[in-house]
Amino acid sequence: MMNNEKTYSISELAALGNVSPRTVRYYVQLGLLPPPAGRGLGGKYGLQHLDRLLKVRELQREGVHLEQMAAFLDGPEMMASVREELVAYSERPQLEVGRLFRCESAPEPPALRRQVVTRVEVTEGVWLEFAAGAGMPVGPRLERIVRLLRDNLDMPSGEDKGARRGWESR
Amino acid sequence: METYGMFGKNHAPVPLQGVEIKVDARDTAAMVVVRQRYRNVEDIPIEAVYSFPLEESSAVCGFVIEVDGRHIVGRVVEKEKAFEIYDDAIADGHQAFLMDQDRPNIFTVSVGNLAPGAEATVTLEYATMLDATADGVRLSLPTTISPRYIPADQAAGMDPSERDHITPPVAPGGVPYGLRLDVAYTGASPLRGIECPSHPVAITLDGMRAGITLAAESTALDQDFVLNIRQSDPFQPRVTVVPDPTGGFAALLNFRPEMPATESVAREVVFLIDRSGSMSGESIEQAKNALLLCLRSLRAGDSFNVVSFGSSFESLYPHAVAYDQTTLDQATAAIQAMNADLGGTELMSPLRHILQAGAGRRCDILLLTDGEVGNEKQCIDLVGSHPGTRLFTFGIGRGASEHLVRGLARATGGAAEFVFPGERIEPKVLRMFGRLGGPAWTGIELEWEGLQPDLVTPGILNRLFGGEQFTVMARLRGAGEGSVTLRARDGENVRSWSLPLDTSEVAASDAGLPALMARLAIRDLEEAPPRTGSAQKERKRSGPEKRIVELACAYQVMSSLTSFVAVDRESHVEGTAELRRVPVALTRGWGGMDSRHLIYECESIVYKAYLDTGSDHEANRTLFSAFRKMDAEQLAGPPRRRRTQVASGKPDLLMQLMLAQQADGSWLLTRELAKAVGAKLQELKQEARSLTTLDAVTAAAVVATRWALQTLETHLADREVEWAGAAAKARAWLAARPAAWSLCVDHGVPYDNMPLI
Repeated sequence: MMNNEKTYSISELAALGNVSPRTVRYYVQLGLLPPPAGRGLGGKYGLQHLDRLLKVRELQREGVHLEQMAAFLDGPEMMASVREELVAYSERPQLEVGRLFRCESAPEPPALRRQVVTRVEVTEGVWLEFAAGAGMPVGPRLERIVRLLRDNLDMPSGEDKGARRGWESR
Repeated sequence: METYGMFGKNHAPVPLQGVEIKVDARDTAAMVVVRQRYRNVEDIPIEAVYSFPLEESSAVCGFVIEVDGRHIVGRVVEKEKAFEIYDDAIADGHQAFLMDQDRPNIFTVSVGNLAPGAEATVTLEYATMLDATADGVRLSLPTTISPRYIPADQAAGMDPSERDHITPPVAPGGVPYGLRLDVAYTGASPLRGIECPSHPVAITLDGMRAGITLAAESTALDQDFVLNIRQSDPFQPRVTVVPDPTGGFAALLNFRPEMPATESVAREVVFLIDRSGSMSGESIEQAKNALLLCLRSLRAGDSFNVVSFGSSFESLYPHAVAYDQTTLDQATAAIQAMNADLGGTELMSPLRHILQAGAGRRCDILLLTDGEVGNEKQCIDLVGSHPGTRLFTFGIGRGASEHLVRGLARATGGAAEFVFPGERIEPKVLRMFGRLGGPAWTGIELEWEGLQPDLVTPGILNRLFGGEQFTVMARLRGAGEGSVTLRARDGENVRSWSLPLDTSEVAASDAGLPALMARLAIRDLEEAPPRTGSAQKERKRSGPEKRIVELACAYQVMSSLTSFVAVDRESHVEGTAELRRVPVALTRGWGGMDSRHLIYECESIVYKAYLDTGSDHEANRTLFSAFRKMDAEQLAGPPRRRRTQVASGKPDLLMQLMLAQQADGSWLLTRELAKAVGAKLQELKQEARSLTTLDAVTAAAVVATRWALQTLETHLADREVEWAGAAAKARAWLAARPAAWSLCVDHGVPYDNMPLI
């Protein structure tokens, strides 16, 4: 940073970006803003910080999540593709995926990704799952399988609702 | 080790090592000490940030850090100033500690610049009130922050760091740190029993004292810790006076306004049930059971409606309808078919809809929710601005948002109850209906004689329920003797209750009462409806905001506008600290997930929905059919259709009988009823045929009703408080049928209470 360049304290920068000073710090910690120059009370932010902060805010307003932000912050080409993506994004109902975090002592979840599974309810508490491409039978064949399972599982009679397709996931 | 998500750096261990809670509770108040141990096992300095819940009425009045054998006492300063001190200290290479209040029940501790290898213990202390139950007190300690629904428009306007605090990263597989907990309780009368529906505990009971410890060495922080303590003689009117640190005295006044049961007026009740994804599993089943019971607590002449909500809402009837057998059957069928399949928790729209529909009438809303929303303040402000409508709220599940559930009730003069999985719902439902049916006091006031307070909380006296504790705290500048009278008015009906006040009877220890008084007075200011026209700057300079900061600093308690900060001036840390966000455990049973089950993907926290939340109900519904499908797509793991057993595996006899009762108070003669009352259907039919003066249908109902009543009175005598209302309805029905009366006499049924015709 040049010596005679305009500098801001953390609260001044925060006020200009319409965020709290805590958020400025938070952004620095996430790597979205470079750390301030210098240490202690002399720690100052410059125009490049302000520029970047405003860009982050703009992207946020457009619906980019902090998790994806870093990848979107550099270069006009990137910005253009982000915009395209955002347009597509806002045109369909979209879920923000929760942040996932796994700790050392926790058992490993089998698959932390979406799977294509079709689930058939055999009876309450019992399901049959078919992975995509596993050749799930349909119609009378499926019904036969389900009935066979029910009969052998000693299920109460009169509850024969027929095989029902549960929900699918992508 | 691997971590997922951009916020967790690869191979970064969790710096929080463990949490220890010690509770010292006396009578109706408690002091709680929470110790969090942090350790930096990395070779770079870190900033550990941990968000956690506390009870919403907590007066956090102590923040002490132990690091390298040094004790650093934190102090309360204005929030932005506190952050400045913290940020500057870190930039100067010191270890620094900050505690913010993000919501009245969500707090965040930042341990900044923890040197490689360093260990720090953060001890925070708070005072709190215990919740009064029908026969004692309830202590509830939240342990984790459930993922919450934040409406899109609010998410866009929320400060990013605040949003990060209220939606901490969730570790569905569990977290490596655990909880140790000790509770010591001293009652004002001998204790009759202690029950902990949430955790296995070891209990020692000795007269008026009890000690409760978690049975496991270290327990997961994934659900509220709940303790119900029953006393032989709870809630005698009482006054406690303690010295106030700012001069004078702080007084805690516990009134117990007894009043005779009055003839209740016809009510209009709207049942509002949360069907968002987070209610899946045991929560929705429990809410449905509670709702079915609520329906049966209505009486002829009442009117009701059932509204369920998620991202959209559905109303069973366009308007409230009269309570009769037809509407009861329709509502029962609708409720039994409900699933937690309506997506997000968009509470504002249904509330607006109900408030508009009920405008100008006296209407009560009975809300059942887990309350996991991010816009608590807006919801509370909305209902607070509609006098005439009271909200009675049930917080459901293992981690219901206490602030929303209590806040809504507080703002409208209603009441809140919490139902933990496995806890009996019936007493809570019946207690709630007792409140609904009671008089609506229009003018509640306090009259001080001899001593004048300069601070009184609650500032707005808008709710008073017969037989329940009514608590007031006040600051007295002068010494002396006097009395306080509580007065309530309902039309011509005026009642009053008095308590003596004497500052010479001052308690030796203040037991955190002044801090609690300050916190409650601050809450009054925080929850005061925003005055129109007052610019934010004006509020800051002279309005309630200035007053909040003054009170918080004078009493050294946390508030929405003040934070605790502590700096370790003797430390010197080299290098730039990296952020280590402490993940929290997913609330057990949240969204129907058992935390031990695998999870393919965490459920969404925020819907990205650009929706008009206006009143166009039909349009919302269509638009959201798309969402419902997506909701189902979120989880490919544990079945969302799974029914979770709520209480024990065996169906509860009382619940069975209550649910079978007809709107008019009678029972129908069915095979199920015969089985429930332990008789053969044929014998009962035979008995009905002997009632020759009645038509066959009525005769069958008379026999069924008589047997049901007898079963309640003989087999379920110990739970009379739960079925008294149902029995009264049944007796009234029988009394209107003279032949039924003779039948009862013939059978020698002890119908002492039966009205003579």
